[in-house]
Order: sequence, then C-alpha cells, then structure tokens
Amino acid sequence: MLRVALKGLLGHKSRFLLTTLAVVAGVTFVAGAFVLTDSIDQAFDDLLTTGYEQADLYVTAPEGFETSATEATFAAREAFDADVVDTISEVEGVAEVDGIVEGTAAFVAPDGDPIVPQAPTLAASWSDGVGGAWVSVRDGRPPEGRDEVMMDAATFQRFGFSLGAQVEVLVPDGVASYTLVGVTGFGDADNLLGATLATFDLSEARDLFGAQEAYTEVSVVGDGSIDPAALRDRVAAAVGGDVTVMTATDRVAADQADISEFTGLLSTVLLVFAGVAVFVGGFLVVNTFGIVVAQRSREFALLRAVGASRRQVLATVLVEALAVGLLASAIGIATGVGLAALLVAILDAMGIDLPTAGAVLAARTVIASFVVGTGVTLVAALAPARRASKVLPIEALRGSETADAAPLGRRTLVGAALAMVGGSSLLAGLAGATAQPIALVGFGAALSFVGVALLSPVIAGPASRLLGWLPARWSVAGKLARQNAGRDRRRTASTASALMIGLALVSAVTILTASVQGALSDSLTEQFRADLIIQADQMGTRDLPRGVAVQLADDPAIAGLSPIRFGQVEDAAEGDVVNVVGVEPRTIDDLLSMGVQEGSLDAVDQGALALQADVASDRGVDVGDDLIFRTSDGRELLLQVGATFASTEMLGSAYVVSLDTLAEIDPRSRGDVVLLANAAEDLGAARDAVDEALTIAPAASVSDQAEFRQQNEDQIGQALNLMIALLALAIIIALLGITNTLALAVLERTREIGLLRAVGMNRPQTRRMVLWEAVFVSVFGALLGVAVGTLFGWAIVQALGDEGITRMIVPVGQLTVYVVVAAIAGLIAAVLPAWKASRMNVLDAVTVE
Amino acid sequence: MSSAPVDLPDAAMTPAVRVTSAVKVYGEGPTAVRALDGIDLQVPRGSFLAIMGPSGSGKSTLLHCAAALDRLTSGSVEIDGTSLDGLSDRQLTRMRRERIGFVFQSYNLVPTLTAHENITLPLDLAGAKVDRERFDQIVDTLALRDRLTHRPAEMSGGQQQRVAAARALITRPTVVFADEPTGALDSRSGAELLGFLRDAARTVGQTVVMVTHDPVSASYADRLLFLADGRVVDELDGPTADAVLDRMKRFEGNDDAAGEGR
Repeated sequence: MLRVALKGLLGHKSRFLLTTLAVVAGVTFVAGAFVLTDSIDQAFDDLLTTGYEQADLYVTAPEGFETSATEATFAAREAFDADVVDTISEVEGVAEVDGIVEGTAAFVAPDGDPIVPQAPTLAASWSDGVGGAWVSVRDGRPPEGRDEVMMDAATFQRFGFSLGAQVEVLVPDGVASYTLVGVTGFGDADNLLGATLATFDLSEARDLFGAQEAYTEVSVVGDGSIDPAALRDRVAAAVGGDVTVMTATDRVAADQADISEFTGLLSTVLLVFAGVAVFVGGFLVVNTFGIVVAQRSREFALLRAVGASRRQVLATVLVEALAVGLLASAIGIATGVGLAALLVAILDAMGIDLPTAGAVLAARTVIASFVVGTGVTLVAALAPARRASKVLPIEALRGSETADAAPLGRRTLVGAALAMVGGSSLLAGLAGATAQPIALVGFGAALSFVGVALLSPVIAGPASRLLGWLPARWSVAGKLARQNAGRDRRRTASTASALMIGLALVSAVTILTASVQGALSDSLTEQFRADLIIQADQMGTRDLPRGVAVQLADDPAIAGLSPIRFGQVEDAAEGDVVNVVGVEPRTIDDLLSMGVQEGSLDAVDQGALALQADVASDRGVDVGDDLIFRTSDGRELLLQVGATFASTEMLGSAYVVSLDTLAEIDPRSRGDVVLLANAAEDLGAARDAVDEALTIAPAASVSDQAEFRQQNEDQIGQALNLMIALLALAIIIALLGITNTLALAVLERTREIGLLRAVGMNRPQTRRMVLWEAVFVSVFGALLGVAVGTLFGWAIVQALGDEGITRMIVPVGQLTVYVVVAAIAGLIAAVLPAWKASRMNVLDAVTVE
Repeated sequence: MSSAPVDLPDAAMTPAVRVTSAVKVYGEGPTAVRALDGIDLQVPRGSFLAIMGPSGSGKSTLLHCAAALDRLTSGSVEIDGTSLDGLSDRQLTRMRRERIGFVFQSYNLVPTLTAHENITLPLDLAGAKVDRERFDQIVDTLALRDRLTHRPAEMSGGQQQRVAAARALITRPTVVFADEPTGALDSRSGAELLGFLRDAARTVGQTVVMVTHDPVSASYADRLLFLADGRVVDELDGPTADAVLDRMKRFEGNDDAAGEGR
C-alpha cells in the first residue's frame, strides 16, 4: 500500500506543488521566528557575557518600579555617591574597583538633523579600567578632555563622520560641540540594538548628567580568593542598602531576561502571523486533498475492489499527506533560516545593527517546524482521507460524476455550533474573563473561521448566482463561470474561506483602527485646546531641555504654558504601580480640558491629587478623602483628593498632580516630555517664539492642532499598514489556493472544455470563463471575510468601550477597496489556470477518456 | 450563417467537404504511424456519408481532421470551399462555430447548462441571435420541448444525444460531424437519432458525416466508405445493414490474410 501511496503522490506531483508551497510558507514563518529570536538571544548572550565577564560584581542604584524591558535596559540609572568606590576597595578580596556615569545624548548628523533612531540614544563616561570594558575602541582614541567624544561605529559609518571633526551633540541642557576622537564597538556589533552611544570623559559626563562626585555604575573585580557570590555578600554588607550589588552572572541573567522579553515579544508577533498562515495553509490542504480524492475515487474503488481494506485506503491518503508535510517542513526550515537573515537585513537597513552570531537553528526549531508542518497537513488531510476510505468498490464500475449530491445538513449544524462556540469564546476572551484572554480570543477566532467555513457552502450557491448575475448577462463565458462556481459548493466555499480568513482579520483591524482614530479625533475635538504642542521627540524617550520651558514662560507671545511630565508611584491600597501625570494646574484647563467635576484645580496646585471620576467612584473615594501612596524609594505619603475630572484620553492617566507634587512623589520622574502652549494673540508669533526656544532642542518638534491631529492619524495608519503587510502572507496563501483549485478544476473539466472549444468557444472566451470563476470565488471570499471581520471589529470595539472607544466606525470605502483588490488578486491568481485551459489541445480534450 | 452572401453563387457546386490527398503521420522515424495514407474524398451538399473501418483504420483521425479538430500532415481539407490549411486557432474556432456541427459519443453536453442553454451554446459563444423559428422547429422535431429546462444529469442518454444533435444543427452548419453518435445509446434511442439525422439530410439538405462501427447505423447513410490502414478501400451507395455486413466479412478475411502475409 505504501508503494501505491507514493506512486499516487509522484503521479500527481503538480497537484501537490501549490499545497506544499502553502505549508512551506507557514513553516517558514514558524522557523524564521524561532531562528531570528534564538540568534538574537544567542548573540546578546555572547555580547553580555563578554561585556560583563570583565568584572565579578556590579554596583548600581536600586531599581525603581519594574518597568518595560526596553526602558529597564536602556534608561539611565540613578547616580550614587562616588565614595562607595573607596568603601568597596577596602573590602577584603576586592582587587579592582572602577565606576562610570551613564546618561543619554544624541548626535547631530552632518546635515544638521539630530540622529534619533527607533532606539535609545545612550551616553557613558569612558574608563580604561574594568568599568569601560563593555565598549571597545575600534578606531582613534578615547576622549582625553571635556571637549572630546567617541561615537559608536554604526552611527559613524552610516552618517559618514570623520575623526578629528567637530560634532554637535544633544545633551540634556541643549546642544554642545565636541571633537570626535574615537569610534566604539561592542564585540562584533557596531551598535546595541540600534541605540547610539556617545562616550565622554568622566568629568564631562558627570557635568552633563548631574552626577557630581557620583557614579551610575561601579564594576568590582575580586582577587580570586573567594567566589563572586560570597564577595557580593561582603561588598553588600560594606556599602549598606543604598545601592544594589549583583554578580556578573546575575547581571547577565537580568539583562538577558530583558532582551528575552523583547525577543519573546518579537517571536510572539511573528508566531501569531505564522499561525494565521499555517491555518490558512491548512484550508488549502483540505481543499487540494478533497479535490484529488474526488478525482481519484475510481482508483480507490478499484483498490477496494481488488481487496484493499478501508484502513489501507485511508492510510494511502495519509501517507501522501505525511510526505507532503515532511517535505514542506524541511523546505520551510531552510527558507525560515533565510527569512531570519532577511529580517536581520531589514532591521539593519532600519539602523538596528544586531550582533552577528550567525543563524541559530535550535533542535526546538526543527522539531516545532516538523510538528507544525506535518501536523497541519495530516490533520487537514484527515477528512478527505476518510472520504476516500468510504468509496465503495462498486463505484469502480459506475464511474459517474458525483459532484455535489450529498446534503449539507450535518456539516451546516456542526458549522453553526462551531461558529457559536467560537464567537462566544472570542467575546469572553475580549471581556478578559480568563487568565489567558489573548489565547481565548485566538482560539475563538480560529473556531469561528472553521465554523463559518463549514457554513459557507450553504450560501456559496446563491452567492455565486447573485455575483454572476451581471457577467452572465454579459457573456457566455460569464454564464459558464457562474455555473462552474456554483457547481461544487463545498469546493468554492472552502477556496473562498481561505481568503475569508485573511480579509476578516484585515477588516477587523481596519475597523478597529478607524474606531480608534475616530475616538482620538473626538477627544481631540472635545479636550485639546492648546494652540501648540511641543514634543521632545517622536519616541517619547527623551526630555526637553529645561531651558525651553523657562524661556517660553517669559515670552510675551505665549499666553499659557504647561509641561506634561510622567512619574510612577505605587498605590498602597491597591498594590498597583500607577502612572502619575504632572501638569501646571493653573493653566492646564485652558490647554487641555479636564472636565473638572468636583473640587477644583486650585487644590491640586496646593499639592492635592486630581482623580479621574470613574476611578474615584470605583474606589469609593470622594473629594477631601486621603489616599496612601508608596514611592519608588520606599517612602509612604498621603495625598488628598482635591478634584475629580472626566477625561483621561489625552492625559493618559487617571492620577494628575502639580509638577512640584510629582517631583516629591517620584524623584525619578522625567523632565518635560511635552509642552502645551497657547498663543497670546498671534499664532504665527507664538510659533516663532517656540521655534526660537527649540534651537537648543533640535530633536523636538512643534505642531499646531491640525498638524498634531494629522500626526496621530498617521501613526495609527502606519500601525494598520504594518498589520496588513504581515497579514498579506495569509492572503497570498489563500490566492495560491484559488490558483490550485482552478488548476485542478480545469484538469478535471478537460473534456468539457474540449467540448466547448469544439462547438466554437475561442481561446479568449475560455480564458474569460476561468477568470470570471476566480473573480466570483475571490469576491465571495472577500465579502464573507469583510462580513466576519465587521463582526470581529464590532466585538473588539465593544470590549474597548472602557478605553474611550465609544462608537464603531466602519470605513465602507476602505472595505470596498479590499473587495475590489481581492477580485483583482483573484484574477491574477487565475491567470495560469486560464492560460492552461485556453491552450488545451481540443482533440486531446475531446478524446480523453 | 452557413453561407455568407459572397459564397452563394458557387455554393451549389462546391462540395460541403473536400478532402484531398490527406496524410496524417503520428510520431517520427521508424516508429512513425501513417494514420491517413492519401485519402481523397468529397461530400456533396445534402448527403449523409458514413465511414466505417476496423479500429486503427484511421476513420476517427479522418473525422477529426475534416472537422478542424486536428491538422493533417499533408494534403488539404476544404469546408464550404474554404481551406483549413494555415488557419489560425481563432479562424479554426470560427469555422467550428459557424460551419461545423458536432455530435460526439455520450457525455457531450455541458453539465451545468440546461438543455435549452446547451442547444443555443454555439450561438451564444458567437454572440449571435437565436433564430426562434429554427429553434422551435428543431426542438419539436427532436421532441425536446418538455426537457428544455432540464440539466443533462436529469435526462436519459437518448435525450442527451438529441440535445447534442439539436446543438449541432442550430447554427445551420455546412456539415455535421458525428463520431459514433449511437455508441452509448440503446438501439431504440439510436434509431431515433439516426432517423433524425437522415431526415435532416433529406428534407433540409443538411450534410452529415458519421463515423461508426455499427452496420445498422451505417445503413441510415446515403453512402458508405470503408477505410483500412489509412486508405479508402471500398464504398457502397445506399447501404443496407446486410450489405454492410457482407462487405465487413470480406474485409476481415482480407485483414487476416494480410496479417498472415506480413
């Protein structure tokens, strides 16, 4: 039987080509995601180990509240007293102690624009001791005076700097000029995950980052008499609780954990899209095997007639599926390694230079790829294989064309049940009813897709009749195509369903985006009153130099000004770390309507807290009540609720205090991230004043209301485009499915096409017949997808009601464009089958048995 | 449609089909097979010609080449005085659409179309209007009136083949080619169909060329050609089934003798 199976496969190689391709595409993403993140992890592990193994212990200021991975890794640490070095050097077993100061600073490119990558702009003091061992001098020499600086190799090469030249650097207080004396590297890498690094001499760094007689990090090397853990305990005992002491191993592990959090997120995102691709690929497998089994039913009947058991027939088909799955997985792993390399190249082009450790192909990657590739193929081939095993021996003699006779009853019931269970899982997941809401949403969506796919044959018939109504009036080709599309409802439906999935996801995301944009636009209209908004940078990782606010406060062209600062504090009663916003309470309401409900902002100016009204009522707090907070350095403090306010959308937090209060409750709070300003009289004059103030902050930008609105919309639009680009893979696989189904259908209808040609159908008509069918299938799938996607979008928007997204916006125009694009893509997918159909030799077609 | 105005003057004189020195070779070199080995043939308008011969005699090849489905290696085919030589696919399609009708063995309807749509298919493909009168006449003659809305799967073999015949005739083709038209039919349905083809030839002057291996079917024709090894080896005017059988016996004897002789 095995031989029969493999012969069957070899005999129908071309039929399985596209199926294999679809599985390959899914496996590629699975393997690519793992290879990419494993490679990055490995490279960073190497980098961190080489970087940190120079010393045995690292001393830093204690961590504040747990923050996100990138912040924790790149945020400048607090400085602590330099005396610690003396204390530590006296500890028994310590051989060398060395400290550095870190901060942030950005270079200005030769063309005058600040270099602000999609990553932090780091700065550090140079040390030729163990403290500076993480950086290596690639070229030139270290800075030897206050006016010299070194630059990371990636920035140096990318912007064509030259040694000895003067470079402008954005430092916390503005712009300063330095002589570029050296180029730095990090092991093999030219930069750290895209971050830029400016290396100053110690006294300059201390001045720039406000760390007089202080360090932000101290490295300790032991004399080898005791192990690092014991040394850590000794040092920690000597320095007391004001600083944190870690062994190099712990430090590597801690940093590695942060990196892994980042790469884990990356791999999750990639795997989600891989999952979608694999899922769609599964539909293609079901379809291909279904068609091939139907076409070969005579062969199976014959096998049964000569004594093959049902199990043997079942096994025949499954062995074919296994072979396809194994082959596709093997190819997918190879292409996955390629994909990872491609992604690294793309990241590199975006200015994120990853350390080169080569592609890491872990056993886990290989196993996962094979499990996914062969698993999906086998599961998807199960139903067709069962159908093959049910072919009766007698059918070998009948040889009738049984296309669509079986009723759809049970299938429809199962489909409806699945769609209902899937839909409710989706809703439950969105409502956050479980510990794993995202998984539940994904599961619900997948189940809904299968359900709708099972239901869709019921509407495939009427739908193709409806869609084909006009083309059928137009031409015979259109009419025949309409009949062909309605001919095998299951086939049409499952081909269309594959396309449905991609379009449903795209439509849901589009609706979500439009609704978010709408909500944002609404809150801008209602709340945003400032004439001008000044942003430190697009990433929000940098602060404005303090001079900007000082200068603008005195400028007569500016009428009202409030900085926006962010800090964190732990809400003692709830145990959560909350974001706190610091504003200027006297002017904020003219710039950003807070909608004060009770109390007044005057109280906030006096040191009270403004609490968002919903949060206040949830917690049963009224104006005048006290709330207890715990600061990051462990102090407890009491804040009175001085006002309640309506809106949080623009401020981004339910807790608002004055700038002074913020500085008190969070000593680590950031400087001015955003400044809001009103013009005194003339907007142009105000803008000129701002532009002038911003000369010390080239990375900052100023926008008026319209520009700010546009900026926000563009950002959301970019996110949408990225999602669509990633979902395009699923759509392309679905289009492969259309090509495949049509190619198989053309093969199956050889005789019929020959007949049509014999009675006078010309080649263009033959092509049009196939092309029209593709259009019907793709438009049907697209409409189904848009419908399902609209339901998903509705569910998501409902779930986000609390987040201020109050109404669902369905961008009908954009969704229509999707359907039209799907129709055109369907046409393109059908070009090859159509061409094949039209080139078919009439005589061969007529005489085929 | 069968006769454009220009063709009219000499239409009466030109035969519907003229085949001259037809040679068809399959393959090359020592394995080459001469399926047609120099056949000359004229089918006058309004005549019903049957072609018989053992399998491998070239009768199907002759039909396919004459009907613009296949090309000759050398020699020429003219339909209605127009040579098929060097016609493009587009021109051949047009030829099939306008001047040639086909009746194949069974299963030769488009399964997704109704009987009505199947019958008018060649006109629809050509974008031509259906001549209502002719349609009615054909449908009534073939007793298909109450089957028009049915699909092929809902009709008997005989009914399907009558629909095929109606489709072949609807365009008023110069010639209808029939390839074993009764092959899959029971004898009564077969007789009905053949009777209809004969009547079409006699009453409206429809030229019919039929390939068959059945002496009874052949007896419906006005004239019968016998083919063997790609050549015309005999012909018979106004064949009867008995006469055909007689001839066939003789050929089989010859064939055996020839076979032994080789």
